[in-house]
Amino acid sequence: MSTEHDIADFITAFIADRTGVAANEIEPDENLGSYGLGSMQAVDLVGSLEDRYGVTLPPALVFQYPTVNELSVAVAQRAATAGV
Amino acid sequence: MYARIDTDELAGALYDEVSVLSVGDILLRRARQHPGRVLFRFLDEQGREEDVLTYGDAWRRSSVIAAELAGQGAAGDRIALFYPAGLDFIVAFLGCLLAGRIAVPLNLPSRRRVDRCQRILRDCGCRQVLTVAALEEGLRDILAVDADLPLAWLATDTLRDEAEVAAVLPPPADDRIAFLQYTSGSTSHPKGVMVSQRNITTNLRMMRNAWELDHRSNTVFWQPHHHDMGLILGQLLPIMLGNETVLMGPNTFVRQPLIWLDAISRYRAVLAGGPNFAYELAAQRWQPGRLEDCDLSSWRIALNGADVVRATTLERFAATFGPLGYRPATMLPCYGLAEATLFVSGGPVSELPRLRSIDARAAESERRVTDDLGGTGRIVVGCGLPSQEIDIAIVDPATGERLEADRLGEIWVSGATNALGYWQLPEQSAAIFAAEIADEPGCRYMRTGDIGFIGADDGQVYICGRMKDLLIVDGRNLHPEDVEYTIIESHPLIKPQSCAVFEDERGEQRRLVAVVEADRELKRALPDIEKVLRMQVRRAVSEEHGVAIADIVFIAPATLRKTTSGKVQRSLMKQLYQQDGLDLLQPVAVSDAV
Repeated sequence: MSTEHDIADFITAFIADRTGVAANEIEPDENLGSYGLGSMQAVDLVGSLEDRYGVTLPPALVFQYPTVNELSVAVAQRAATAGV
Repeated sequence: MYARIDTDELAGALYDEVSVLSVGDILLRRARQHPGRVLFRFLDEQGREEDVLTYGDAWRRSSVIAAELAGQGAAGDRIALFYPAGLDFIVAFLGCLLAGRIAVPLNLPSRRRVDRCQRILRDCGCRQVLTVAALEEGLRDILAVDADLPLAWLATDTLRDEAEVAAVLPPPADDRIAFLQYTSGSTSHPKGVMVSQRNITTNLRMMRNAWELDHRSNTVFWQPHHHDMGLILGQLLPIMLGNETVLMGPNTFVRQPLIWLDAISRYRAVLAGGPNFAYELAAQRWQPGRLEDCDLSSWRIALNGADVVRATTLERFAATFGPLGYRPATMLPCYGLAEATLFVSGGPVSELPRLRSIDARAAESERRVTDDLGGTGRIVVGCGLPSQEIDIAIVDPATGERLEADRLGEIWVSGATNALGYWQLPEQSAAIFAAEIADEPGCRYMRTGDIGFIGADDGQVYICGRMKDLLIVDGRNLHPEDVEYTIIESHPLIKPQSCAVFEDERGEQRRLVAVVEADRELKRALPDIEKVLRMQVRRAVSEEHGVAIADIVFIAPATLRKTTSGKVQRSLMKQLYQQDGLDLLQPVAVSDAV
């Protein structure tokens, strides 16, 4: 079972890895663009979330839910539905 | 599959004949010889076949578009192409070439990035735009903000089912401009490389011969078609080869890179590749259990170009995908640039990439390459032998003298693959495209701006850096002045001429660094706004350029180094940054000082 918390940690680690911004500088309610996440990396993030949580996600998900918190809730909901 | 094998003989028979024809002419001959043979398949986001184009379809659809274009405007008109990933682009592009119009392939502009696009449209004097019906209204909306740009629109996919037109005659492979490639200039000064019909034919032939390709060499590509690699390699080379090519959108690759590898396996591809980051991403995203049925043994050439080739990536990719049949000798680092149409060096095929560990200090101080045997040197990867159709010279950029092997200098290229110049920039064109080596009058060379050497023992081209401060991020060229401009615009307290952006290439990943010089006002405000300011700068840069600034440092007033003419000295700032020699503003110290 993937919790929102686990997903949020994964997203934060991903942003830190791809942008070089320290993980502890990444705030849960800040727009991910503020850490320099480009459009290509946003697509990379969607694919990485798909791989990890076994769900299919719309490619533009990060643009609809652009913060760590919003995105982890959205992914958790889809993961829960997919698991039923 | 059967259709392909049935037409193999017909496709192969044209090998010699097409070597000197224009790409439009080649398509006509192939459409006559093997109309039912598949030229392109396009895969959707899940990797399923979404669209197919045969040689016959490609000729029919591009000639219909050419006939439509011939009815308006005149030969030599510039026509902008805005297309999503898919098979509508290539027939529109060929339609322009068949009609003697100059194609200008462009990235789809977002509302935010419309500025660059408009500058290009103005620079080339474009009056007509080709696109697909689904995008026309949105694009008209975005581009309508500029009243000086009256544009005629044509949605070419509405012509999809029209019958063939008889009267279209392909142009010869001569010096007329076929298309403009706008990837070299900065946002404020776009530069359109003028690529002729002869340039295209020459470069396609160079790749075919260097990599020993033919009609059986299936290829898989995902690079965007507005980029030289995606266009020349992904969409034009197949026409010369008479092969079958599988295409997918760049987003499909980035989201699920394994779809790319799966396509190589399913379609038995011989040739596939991309910039170094593609290999890095695929290895990063692989997980145990994925691609279990995948067989990469057909893959003979894994091109790695358009960016720095990293030895660590080659190792990692081979370790990850070796069990699936990938062989390390498949990796083929290559070198090229839009100013040479695309390909310059790469190969021979089926040999392990050459790695050299060089003494960085000797290279910098004496411009001489010496091997570092202590294992602490800088690793450079050989980008292959130059094509047999060109001459590569290593030249001292200060004196214009030719240098011997293992000496570092600027890479100069001569040959029929060199583009004609930059659109309507005669002075810059003369300086870049008509350079002469000292004491060797009469032979025109193109200056690449890249620094490298020719290996004394292997004749390969090694790239070590660039003369200009160009940033290359994931295979895209980015001008530091554009990023600096964005940073300056992102907050009123950041003043003009106060910023230097460069790459820190230490460590495994290259990181973009911005050094921002504070004036007294910013210095005073910084302790309160630093966090917000960092976010604002990062957001502006990623929105505008799609890249991340890994580190932003603020330095004391009047400590940004400039030349006497006021130009920011990026390489000096980079050196200071790397040696911890910057006069950093520490938030605490600043509040003490106030």
